[in-house]
Amino acid sequence: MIRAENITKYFDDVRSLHEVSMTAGDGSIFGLIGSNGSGKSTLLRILSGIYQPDTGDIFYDGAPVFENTAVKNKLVYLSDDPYFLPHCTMNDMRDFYASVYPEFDRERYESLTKQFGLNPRRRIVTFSKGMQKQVSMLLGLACRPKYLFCDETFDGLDPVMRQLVKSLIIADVAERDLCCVVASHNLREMEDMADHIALLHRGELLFEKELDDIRTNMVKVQVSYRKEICDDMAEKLRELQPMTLERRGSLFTLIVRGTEESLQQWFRETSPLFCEYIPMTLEEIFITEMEERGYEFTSQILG
Amino acid sequence: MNSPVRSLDKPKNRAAYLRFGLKQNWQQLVFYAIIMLLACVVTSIIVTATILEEIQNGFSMYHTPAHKGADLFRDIALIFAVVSCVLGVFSGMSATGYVNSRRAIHCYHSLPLTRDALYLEGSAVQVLYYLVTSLVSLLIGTLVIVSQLGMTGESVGEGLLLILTGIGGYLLVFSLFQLAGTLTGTAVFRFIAAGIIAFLPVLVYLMIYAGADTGMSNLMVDYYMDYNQIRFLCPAFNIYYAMAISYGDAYVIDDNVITVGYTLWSIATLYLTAVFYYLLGLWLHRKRRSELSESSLIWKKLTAFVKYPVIFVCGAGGAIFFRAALGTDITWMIFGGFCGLVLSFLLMNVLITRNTKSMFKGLPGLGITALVVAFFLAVLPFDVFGFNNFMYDADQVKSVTVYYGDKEVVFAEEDEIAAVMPYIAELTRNTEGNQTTPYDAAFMRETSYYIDPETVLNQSEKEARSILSMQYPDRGVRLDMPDEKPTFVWMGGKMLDDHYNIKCYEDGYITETSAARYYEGVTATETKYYDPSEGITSVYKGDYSYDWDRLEVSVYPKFGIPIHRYMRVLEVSENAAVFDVIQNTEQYAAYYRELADIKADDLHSMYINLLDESVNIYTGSAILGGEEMLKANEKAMAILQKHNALLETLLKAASVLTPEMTDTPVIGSISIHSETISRTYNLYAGMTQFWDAWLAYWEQMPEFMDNPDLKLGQSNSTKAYYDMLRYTNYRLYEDGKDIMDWAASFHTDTYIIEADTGRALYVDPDKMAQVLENSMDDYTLGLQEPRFMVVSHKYTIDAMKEGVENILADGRVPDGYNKFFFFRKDAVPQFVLDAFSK
Amino acid sequence: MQYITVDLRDRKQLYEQLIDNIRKLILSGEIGPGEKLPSVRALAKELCINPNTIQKAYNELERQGVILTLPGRGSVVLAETGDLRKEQLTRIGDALTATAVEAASTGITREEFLSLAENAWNHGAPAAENHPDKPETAKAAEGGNQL
Repeated sequence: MIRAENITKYFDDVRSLHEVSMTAGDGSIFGLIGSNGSGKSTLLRILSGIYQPDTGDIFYDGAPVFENTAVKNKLVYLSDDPYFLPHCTMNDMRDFYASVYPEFDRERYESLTKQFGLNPRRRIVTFSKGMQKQVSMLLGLACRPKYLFCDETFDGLDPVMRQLVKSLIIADVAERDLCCVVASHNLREMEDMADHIALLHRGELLFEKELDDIRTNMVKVQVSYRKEICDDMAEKLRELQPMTLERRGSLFTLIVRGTEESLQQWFRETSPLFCEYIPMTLEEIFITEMEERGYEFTSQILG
Repeated sequence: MNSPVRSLDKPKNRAAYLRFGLKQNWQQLVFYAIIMLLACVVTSIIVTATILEEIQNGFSMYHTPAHKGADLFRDIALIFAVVSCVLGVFSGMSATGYVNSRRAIHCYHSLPLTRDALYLEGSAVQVLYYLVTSLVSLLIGTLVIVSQLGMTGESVGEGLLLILTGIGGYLLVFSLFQLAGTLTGTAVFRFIAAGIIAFLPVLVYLMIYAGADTGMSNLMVDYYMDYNQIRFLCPAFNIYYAMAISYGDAYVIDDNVITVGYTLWSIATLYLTAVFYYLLGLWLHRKRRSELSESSLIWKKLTAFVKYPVIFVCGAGGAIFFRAALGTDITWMIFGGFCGLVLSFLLMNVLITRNTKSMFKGLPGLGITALVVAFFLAVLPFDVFGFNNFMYDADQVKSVTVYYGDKEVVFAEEDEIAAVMPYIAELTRNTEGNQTTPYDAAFMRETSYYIDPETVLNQSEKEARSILSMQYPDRGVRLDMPDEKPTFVWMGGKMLDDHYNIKCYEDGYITETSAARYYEGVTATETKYYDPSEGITSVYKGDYSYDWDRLEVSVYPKFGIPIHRYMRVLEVSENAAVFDVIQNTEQYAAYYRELADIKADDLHSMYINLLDESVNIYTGSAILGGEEMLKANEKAMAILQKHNALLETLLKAASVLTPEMTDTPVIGSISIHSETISRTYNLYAGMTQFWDAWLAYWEQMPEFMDNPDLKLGQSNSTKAYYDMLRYTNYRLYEDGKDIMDWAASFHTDTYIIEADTGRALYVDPDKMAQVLENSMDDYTLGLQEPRFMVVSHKYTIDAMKEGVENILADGRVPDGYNKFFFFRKDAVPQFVLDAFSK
Repeated sequence: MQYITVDLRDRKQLYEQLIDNIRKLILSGEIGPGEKLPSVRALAKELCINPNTIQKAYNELERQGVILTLPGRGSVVLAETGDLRKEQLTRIGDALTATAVEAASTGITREEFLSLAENAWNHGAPAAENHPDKPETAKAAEGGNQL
């Protein structure tokens, strides 16, 4: 389990992270959402032991990570801009990682290479950017890590590859309790994979929750009443303290905190003409959350 | 999981990574191998082949092949040392090169390798590559030499020392660049930083001395410098220093022969410095923040420490450079300083911030540096405190050391200091900017001797004239003299010699002619002549000792900065009295006592200069014609030992110096080069014991000279000297006849030339001697219608003819002409007349 | 068990889908009482869903009393078809009640309501023939798991 407490990081005078705390358990996929410049990559690098935070601590089952090879033996960091040795082939990188990671699995490497359909004797510089990301993912998985950090690794992959990678990670999470922390600005992707989501915005952690909690605890309701009581209902609906409330004639659309079950009773008692619970996508939930926090929301946050 | 889990043992982990590194960077191994093979093996093969060829052709048999092999080994070791330093740069730039790329750092620092492991493994790869390629190449190169030539002698040891120096130099340069790498974030800046660490401290140090040197011309600025400090401040110089003393060129430092121990210590300092840099780099590497790669300087706080000293050096350097190049006008210096300051300021800012917008960052710092530069310029090049011409009072002085030539005297007692300081103070006042001081014409007249023309032409002085003209014919007869009056001067019993300076003075200034001649050794472009009746025209007061001319004085005060300065002690000066003080010190006599301890076997060479005739006393095996002869000839060995015993007697005789002796004039010198001493000593007229020993030596000389086994007899100069002394009995010339005899017999090529036509007649030297013996009265120095001139010359007859023409034309005797005289008209020998009547 | 599927395009929460689908399978008799459900890991890998999601579904099913998880032995179906059928009936009954309330409050009469209900059944039942949730069709479907 990875626990970060009150991480703050400055680059010269620019504050990149401010008192960020999060926990990622074994056998889970932790999604770190945020726009460019939100501090995702910085956080990942701090968690990987590349940077040291200015304040705060990191605990891997109680142990620190910086300069701690016992922890780093089981940790792989996949950068958004992967680095390869100059003029090397995949096999050269295999040898490189094999010489450093004690649990590197050559057979796994072989089978993954076939699955990805890549030529291991080709020079990596000749690969496209997307293929290079595949290579870095492949090598990372072959190291049999316990902790895998993916910095926008999926963003360059085509849907087929993305699915393959997703299944591989899930397999490892299932089989070996892999703890995978993924930084992305693509919520749709995260919805499929992650069990925990955290939102970073300008260095601050707005959110860290279980995905299902997020979804179950916010409900979008479309309800309509008889014309006569609409105005009264408008008042009554406010008792729910909805996050948003729209009215078009006699049709109300509102987003409320709470579960569907807890609200069903309430709405039934108001005898609506029509009442429907609409599932919200993660995106919608986030937008609502952000708006409630007063952030001007445009597509700047979610790609 | 199918594959077995590898042990998590750290050392094993690192070994695997090291193996990977060694395999991965194989191109660099090839590169190092090529360079080393070229440097050590190819060179060795080529030069060995050349030497073998030379031996086959019979050249240069002076050294045995094994000695030549050893010399070659040493020279290759030197090449190796230089190449090692260059490879150190390559290694230092490439190991831990990943820190200059953000992408690479993100990869490497996420791996399960500690910072230390990364640093160490990188170094290990480079050093292993280097060591393997160098040692293999050296081995092959040496094998080539040993198999073809053999290898013996001192040079082998020197070569081994150079190899150690080379490895040390590599390690030092490597760790310097690694250290620079931990401080910087780009390759360019790593290189610059290495240069700054290596050279900036010493540049600041040298700038101070350059400033002093520019402005304080009387001070011996390099005496203030401590080479050990420079070695400490500048690792590059330390490498050079270790190489130089390993090579054996710097024979003597501070009068001490360099020992192997000292050399090893100098080499060891390279290794120690390398270790220091390396460990510092290791520590800094640990502390280095990963996020700062690709910025120029990692440790922002160091910026000021780097920027401002560089700016200071450029500003001060600019000012000094402009002054040296364009003159002492202050505006040039200010311009130069300004340019240096501003340009370096802008450049440093741009380099550090990598951004031209920040060119003007830190202007207050620039202002402060400018003030420091201004202060520096004021104190040193402009010498506002007047240190250049400053001298302490006697009671402020703790000790004084006077260096003259190759000797020194230390005055440490109060009374000694009190005795010598007034002279030094006076010399300080007289010497302004090393210009010559005016001579006191009246003093000159009183202390000099002269001959008036009448006396010269007077028959009774003929002998004197003949002596003079025989010895110094080119000074004698000048055809274009206003009244055809020769002027000669000598002092006491001494002769003047044209190796010593001729100065013409007229009321206290030196003429251009003589000055040019003295200082630059070129033919005078303008000549002035002065009627001797109106005063002294040519004066020389001097000693045969060459080193009285210039003193180097170090005055150590009780409190304050020592003064090390030059003092020109010119020939006529009241303060030549300082020499009297020096000559009478115990230390001066102690130098002479050194001579008693010298063994003839240790002598490399010995020169005796007497009245400016110099003879090389052959020593050691040179007498016998070489080492081979030495071994083969027992009889020769016996004679050699006898000869050496005489030499040792001579030296012992010279070793005793008393105050009475130093009151007598200096008439010669003896120069000794031995295993431990390399010095010249004055010979005083009063050293009678020496002169007796000298005579005894030469009395034995016929045995040596005539001995067929010895080379002595074959040397012209020894023979000549031998003859001279035989004829003169070492006394100062008083008997012209002897001189004549000698002079005549010395000439190997003697010609009689008809003045009008230039025809020449070769004369058998023996015949000439006869003639001269009998006709001492029959020749003249004067130009009383000379018809025939007897000339002897070392060179070809054509050159001689030309010279004769010149002699006849303007009385100017060019180089190489010795000893000529004219027959008086009515006393031309018959054979000459006969010869020329044809 | 190839029959457990989820539809990623469905907006409903994955774990809710899983719960529903497993219940349906039990209801239809596909999975009988005492049978073991696939392990969380295996199912996660097969469906390519986060194992925690699967775990959640299993936890909820256990809470509902539909299955029982034994440590080290996996999850076993407890519920009978009959129990689930009872639940299913309750659910449909509730849904009908809600619709009836709606109908009544908008002035629809009982006769109209029953008539509508009959029409609905006449139209809906044949369509249900091909509904994937129907046991027979489920059996016939090939490789029901979707990626």
